[in-house]
Amino acid sequence: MTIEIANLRTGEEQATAARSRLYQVLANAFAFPDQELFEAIRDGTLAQSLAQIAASLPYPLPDAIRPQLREAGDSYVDFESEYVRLFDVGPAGPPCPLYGGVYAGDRMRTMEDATRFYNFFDLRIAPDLRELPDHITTELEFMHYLTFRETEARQQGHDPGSLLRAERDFLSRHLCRWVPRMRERLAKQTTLPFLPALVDFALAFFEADRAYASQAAEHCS
Amino acid sequence: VKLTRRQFLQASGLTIAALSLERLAVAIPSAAEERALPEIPPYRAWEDLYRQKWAWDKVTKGTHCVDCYPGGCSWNVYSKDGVVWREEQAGRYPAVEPGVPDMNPRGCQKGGTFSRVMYGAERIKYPLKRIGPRGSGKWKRVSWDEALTEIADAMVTAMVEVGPESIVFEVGPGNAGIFQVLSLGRFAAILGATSLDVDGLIGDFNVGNYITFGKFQHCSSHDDWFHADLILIWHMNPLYTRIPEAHYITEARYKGAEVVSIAPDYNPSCIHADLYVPVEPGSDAALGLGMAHVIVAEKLYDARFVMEQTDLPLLVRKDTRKFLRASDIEAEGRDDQFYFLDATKGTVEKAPLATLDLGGVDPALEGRIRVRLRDGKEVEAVPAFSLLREHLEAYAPEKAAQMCGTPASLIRDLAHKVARKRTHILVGWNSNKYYHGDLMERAQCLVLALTGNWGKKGTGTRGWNECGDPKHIFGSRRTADPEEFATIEQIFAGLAEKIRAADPTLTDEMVAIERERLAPALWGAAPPAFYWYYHGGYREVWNRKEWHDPSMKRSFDEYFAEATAKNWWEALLEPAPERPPQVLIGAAGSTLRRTRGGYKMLLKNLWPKLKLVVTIDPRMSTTAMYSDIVLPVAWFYERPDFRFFTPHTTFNTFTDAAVPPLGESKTEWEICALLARKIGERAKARGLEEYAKRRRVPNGLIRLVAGSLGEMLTRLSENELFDRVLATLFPGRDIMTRRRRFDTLYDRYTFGGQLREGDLEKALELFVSDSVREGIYPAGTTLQTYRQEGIVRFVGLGKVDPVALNMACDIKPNETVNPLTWHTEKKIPYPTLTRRAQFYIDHDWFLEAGEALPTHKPNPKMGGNYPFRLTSGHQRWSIHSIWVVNKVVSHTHQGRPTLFMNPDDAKKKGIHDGDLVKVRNDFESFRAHVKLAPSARPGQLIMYHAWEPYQFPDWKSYDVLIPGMVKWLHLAGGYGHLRYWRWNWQPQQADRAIAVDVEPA
Repeated sequence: MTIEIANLRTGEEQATAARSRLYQVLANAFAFPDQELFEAIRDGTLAQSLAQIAASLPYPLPDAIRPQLREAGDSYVDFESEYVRLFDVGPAGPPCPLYGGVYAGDRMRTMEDATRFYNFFDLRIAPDLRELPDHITTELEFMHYLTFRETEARQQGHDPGSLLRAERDFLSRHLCRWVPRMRERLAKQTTLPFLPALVDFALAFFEADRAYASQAAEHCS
Repeated sequence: VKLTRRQFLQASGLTIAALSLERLAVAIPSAAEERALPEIPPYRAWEDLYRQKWAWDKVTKGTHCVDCYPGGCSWNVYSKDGVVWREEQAGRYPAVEPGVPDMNPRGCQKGGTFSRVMYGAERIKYPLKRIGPRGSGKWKRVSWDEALTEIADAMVTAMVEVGPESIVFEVGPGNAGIFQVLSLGRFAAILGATSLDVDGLIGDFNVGNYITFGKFQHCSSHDDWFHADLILIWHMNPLYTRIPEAHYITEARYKGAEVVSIAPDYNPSCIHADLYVPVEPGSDAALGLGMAHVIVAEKLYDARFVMEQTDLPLLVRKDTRKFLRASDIEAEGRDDQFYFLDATKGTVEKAPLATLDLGGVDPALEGRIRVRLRDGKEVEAVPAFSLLREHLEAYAPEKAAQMCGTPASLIRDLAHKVARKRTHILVGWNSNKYYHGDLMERAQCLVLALTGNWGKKGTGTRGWNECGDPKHIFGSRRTADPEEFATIEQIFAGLAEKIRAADPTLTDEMVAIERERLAPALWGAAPPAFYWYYHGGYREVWNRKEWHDPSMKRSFDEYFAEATAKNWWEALLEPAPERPPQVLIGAAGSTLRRTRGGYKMLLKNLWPKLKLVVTIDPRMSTTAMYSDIVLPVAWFYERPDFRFFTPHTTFNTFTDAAVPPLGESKTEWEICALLARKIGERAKARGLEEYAKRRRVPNGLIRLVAGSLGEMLTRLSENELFDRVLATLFPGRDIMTRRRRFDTLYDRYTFGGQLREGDLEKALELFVSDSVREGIYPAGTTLQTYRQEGIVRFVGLGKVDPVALNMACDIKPNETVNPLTWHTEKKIPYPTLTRRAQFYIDHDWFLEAGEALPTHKPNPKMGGNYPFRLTSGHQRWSIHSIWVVNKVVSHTHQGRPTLFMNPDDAKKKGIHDGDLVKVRNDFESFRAHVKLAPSARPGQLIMYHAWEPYQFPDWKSYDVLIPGMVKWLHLAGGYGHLRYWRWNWQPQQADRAIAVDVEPA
């Protein structure tokens, strides 16, 4: 499903759209890398895009854009293989799974919480996706959705309070909770600069966005 | 417009916001139709999420098609949004017999956490191709088409260059619904590949029971335990391994039964017993023979039962120590006609072949008689029972106590109990994993025979039984036409007629077994021992004479050479030594974990020969880590299937596709169909049309048709012979021809295109219809019945499968199941050489080894001369390795491989609780943490089964130091029932009582 809202006029609207856009870009950046992504990392397209969007955010992300965001190695095959090793398969599981529930005490409870968020906003996992609700890409897409709806609400003059509070809570209960733990494992597992740099960027964004949403929610009804 | 990945990544203009949902979808279709996006509901805080009632999308029936035995627990599976969230015991088992508790609820902590295993970190979701060295952990995701193309290419090359037998299928029970086995089995058979016998692979063949009964796959339903007055838990730890059934032990005890646990260690089941009987590991035969001594010496035996049901009254020549046979006495006498000494008349009488009914004969158990042979020589013969009595002199309780460590008074006490009480021996798959497990089981059977303890409620011993399904007929189908059932039934009947023509006294069970003996050459089955010997490097290990029993007179190779030269394993030596395996297809079996010593031996010797190693598995096992291609497969709640059918539970259990398979996983049904098609395509691209199956046709098949084709057969080439014989026996079944076309494989696999890759559901419907037609399930049973009920109780076990006939009993609607009653009540003979429960084996090798009668021999020093004995058993926390890394279950124990050790031993070795220790012998070593446990016997180390090698330092699990010895006697053949058929008579690796030492690491 693709829907566009044109003619964003206010800085607030544009800043919210940038947040939504950044979640969308990150969802793609964390998804399984194809050759196109690899090239986009290496030629700087991704880093540039992150930088440009970050510049439109309603808060700064100091030092988040690093040169390492371009350093995915020389070979796509090696890069892909490293992704598979870190996130997909390994003895007793990969070292750094991209599933939030793995880092929680109770995986099912985490998946349920995420699903309750999705269901509350009348969403569900796409039936043909065959993926789980606590995968990082799904969670990022949910944030992309909430912030898109926030943009829409702002443009239409509606109160975005519900959306802001949901963004705050979803970040707190999910992405901000488990991605730091994944980052700790990643540090011990890979020498490839790109992936830790991407996670660091994402973490800086999550934390800043949670603070922003939390604060903005206080001004809403 | 779909954006490219790059477009997604690029920044867009600031004045546009774009929503793109790929992973999430609008949940309410009506909202999606009426308005592009749903209304935003008021949200205050996270508590709002939990104010909405959680509702399931559906509740389906499920079970776990893993080699949990008996398994078949029916669960309700709760799913929502494409995710299974939980499962709960369905608890729908009706009471069967008045006065006997029902089976509810069935299910254990493993079943209750399976949804978490299903989504565990070890789950494979995409096809993978290795890009680094094997085992390096470097993978790339590939498409199904890429993966199948690579596999098909390797298979085509193997088929034309070496022969299809060089493609080896090792189908394990890790994901084993009926349709997993049928899919892979059908595919392998159509290719002409080698399918390794699963029982030989996993070592669950109860050898001693087989030697005694000519079969081992008979078991009572577990509700029948309730009828016992004495339950001997002997080589079983039901509190770990029979959690859903253990209540019957307690309930039998409430009713007044006495429960005795016989084990080297004070295992968790012992605390629920009235009496604990300690025994040295591997010395149970001495204990059993000590009991037999008491029963015989004190004349406590059931003479009528012994005379009628066993070979003990049969006469044995004193000069040769062989049975007296009609061929000794008459010119045209049969080699399998044996004799009684009639106690009343003092004459020699033929033991009837077609019945156990003694008629007017009064067989003597003692005495002697001189018999004139046809060459004029006169010899003395005595009943086997006399020999037994003499033999048992060595096992007077005081002597037996020296051998087994059980006090003599306790041996006497036990013997008296068994003689007095309706006794059931709960034996698992522990005894058969000892080198001399056959002797232990034969001794157990002897105790039961002497006391008349089988063939009636609450008695008997047990083995694996998987029957009650129409796999023979369904598997033989060429089409999905329901009416083909009758054609196949006729073919089976025709075969039976031909077999029986040679000997009209054969029972239905014997005929079915003989028919099954012809099958390997057609369907590609092979005992794995030969594959390991020729290709796995085990020849060298098995020739270490010092690791065998000292009574092995010659070298292992000499026995092996004799066995093969005499054609005892005719047409089973696959893949042949000159045609080494090229492609290994491992399906949820994990050969590198499962094969004893396999991680050392197979990686070193077999792996270099293999051009391609493929693993088809839902989880990343150790073997998957060493594979070239890994294919993800649907797990238990993601496909419709049936659990193995077993009379142990008497209910067939269904599992439904609650959710779609995760990621890109597919069912085995679909994978095999796609691969069959791909092989055709790739062969065509290479200009190849056909290939030849090189396996020879066994003499047994030729003999069957010799009458109709006569001498013409002798003039035919091997190729022509194969096809002519099969065309005669199986008219119109061109599936089994020697020369096969690549472009027909898909058509053959898919039942003539009628059941294609997407038609699993239709295949199940046909399967159910076949099973009803065979009289196994009630008329009117459909797939929908299973879907609703989850379980359906047998009304019969089937007429074709010899394993069904091995039960030798009727299924009654309101009674527990007890096997062997056709023998005890209807007097139908047993499928042994003597047609009786056989305790005297006069095979030359057995005589040479001193094992003609059940005897006791100490454990060989497998691994070297070391003071400790490493034993094992199935663990409480996992079914094989499937749950071993599951966090929920692993948090209930140490969560890591643990070696149980007696504190006194540990003190002497300077080992403390929790220490990492090194366990070693001359074969290998491993390291693990110690748990001090007074329950472990001094000198015993216990490492429960099936940890993944990757859970140990250097990936060396306890399996690695098990040399995987096989007992030479199990290569014997050419003797009555000592001949291979599926899951039966074959060598299997010993893994208990391995000689080791231990020290701090």
